[in-house]
Amino acid sequence: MPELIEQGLWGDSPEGKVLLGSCCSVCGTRAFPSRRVCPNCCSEKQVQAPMSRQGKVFSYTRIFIDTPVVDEFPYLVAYVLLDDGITVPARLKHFEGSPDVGTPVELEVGVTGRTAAGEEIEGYYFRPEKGGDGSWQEK
Amino acid sequence: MAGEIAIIGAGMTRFGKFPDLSLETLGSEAASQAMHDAGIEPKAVQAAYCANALAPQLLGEFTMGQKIFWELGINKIPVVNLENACTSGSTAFYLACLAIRAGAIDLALVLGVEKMYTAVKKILDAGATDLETKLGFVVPGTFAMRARSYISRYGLAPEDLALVSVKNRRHGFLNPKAQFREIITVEDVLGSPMIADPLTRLSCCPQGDGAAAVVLCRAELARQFTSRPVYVASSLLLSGSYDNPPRLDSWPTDMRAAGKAYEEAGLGPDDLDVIELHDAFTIAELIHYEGLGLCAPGGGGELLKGGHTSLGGRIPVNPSGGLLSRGHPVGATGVAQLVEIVTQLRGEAGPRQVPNARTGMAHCMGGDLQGDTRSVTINILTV
Repeated sequence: MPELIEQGLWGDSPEGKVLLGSCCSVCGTRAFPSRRVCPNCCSEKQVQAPMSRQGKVFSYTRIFIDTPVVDEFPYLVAYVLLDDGITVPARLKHFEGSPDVGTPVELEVGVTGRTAAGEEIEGYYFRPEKGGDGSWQEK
Repeated sequence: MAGEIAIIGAGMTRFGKFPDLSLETLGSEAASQAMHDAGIEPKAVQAAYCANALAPQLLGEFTMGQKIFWELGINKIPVVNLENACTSGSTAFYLACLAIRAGAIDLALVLGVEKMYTAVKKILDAGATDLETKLGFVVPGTFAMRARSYISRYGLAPEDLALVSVKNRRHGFLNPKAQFREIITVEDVLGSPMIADPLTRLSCCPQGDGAAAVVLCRAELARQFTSRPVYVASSLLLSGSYDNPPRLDSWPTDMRAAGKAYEEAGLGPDDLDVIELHDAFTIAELIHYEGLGLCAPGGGGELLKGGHTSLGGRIPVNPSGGLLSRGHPVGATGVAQLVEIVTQLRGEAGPRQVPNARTGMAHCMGGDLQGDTRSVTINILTV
């Protein structure tokens, strides 16, 4: 079993894996990772909320540093603006060329790195959205 | 607070790679210089602050302040060791100002010291347990994403962004204490190895060793020690707002801090003669221009290209060379910026002197959280 990057970040839904964040029962503000206190109104009445699996690249960079926890070189990181209206930090994978600000992406759960002992780390990442012009292909 | 506090002494080591110099040696050298400059004995120091960000993780050292100050003969007083990422030094200065304003003490010593060239090689991240760090985010990457957002919104040629490094190296060439003193070209910056697209190695500040210190006191006592006091018009520390979605092409936290600092000082951006700001990466300098009100949002590139922030321009920025050229021993940086502004306002900056500089700002930013900074400090000084 791969090691989880962090407990409780995602769960199952009919459409596939979804990130699990929090939603404020008072003002409706969503957050990922989950917050105990609402970042908007400071209410402690927070419930678990599945986040949208789809989003757009908010900003990204390709990093050319050999980072021990990452299994690629170079590798892409991004803030992804989910269709829920909040951004989440993420890796981007399976891009043939460079993404762009605004590129549609969707969530995937899978191996994102390795521990110092060489164990696989299971995390989440976003890949180009399937369908549309069909340009995305499994590598 | 304008006029309540005066800086009466300043000192700093050269910044650079000094494998043979210890944290204690660097720290005591800067602190001694500052006390000699103020003309005070160690026993005159009523509280001492030691800022350091990385010694616990890089050197396994901690609580260094007492050890450094003990060697200098400073004892039996409050000593505070302080970590606040890149703003460690300027946060220590802020706390010393608070203590003097509160009437608890009359005179304080503030030291920032760092040693980054060690056996432990590490690219700085936001913190080991942050989700971002575990996903592979590193500090140059978060600034690269700022650059991407800025370019996407306003358009900015890579050559224009590189000009920040070229300018600050040209300034650092004139500063004998700067880590890098070689003049470089736009081609050098763009041709250096890619770190986090679009930021190349020469678009990023270096690691470094060094220390800087200042002595400050209640303003009415300053003339006992020096004929050239530099007064603190505003000293401010704020955390970020952590809005989501974050603003990556501007820095609301800068704007909030600058607004408060200008109000406290009773001054505006047009009153500043010289600025040291937190150019950890080329893109940061441009966004800070806009955050501090030197130009409208999106106008940073033109301000730079027009030479307005170069020595000889309308508002010279980073005459010391900034983090990109003077260097960035993290815990020392916030104090080193104050030392440069003091030097400028005293008219002692030699070939990099801004003529008739009477009001200057030191701006520092530290840490990443949720696409915002963890802390920003602004200190406005006048003569």
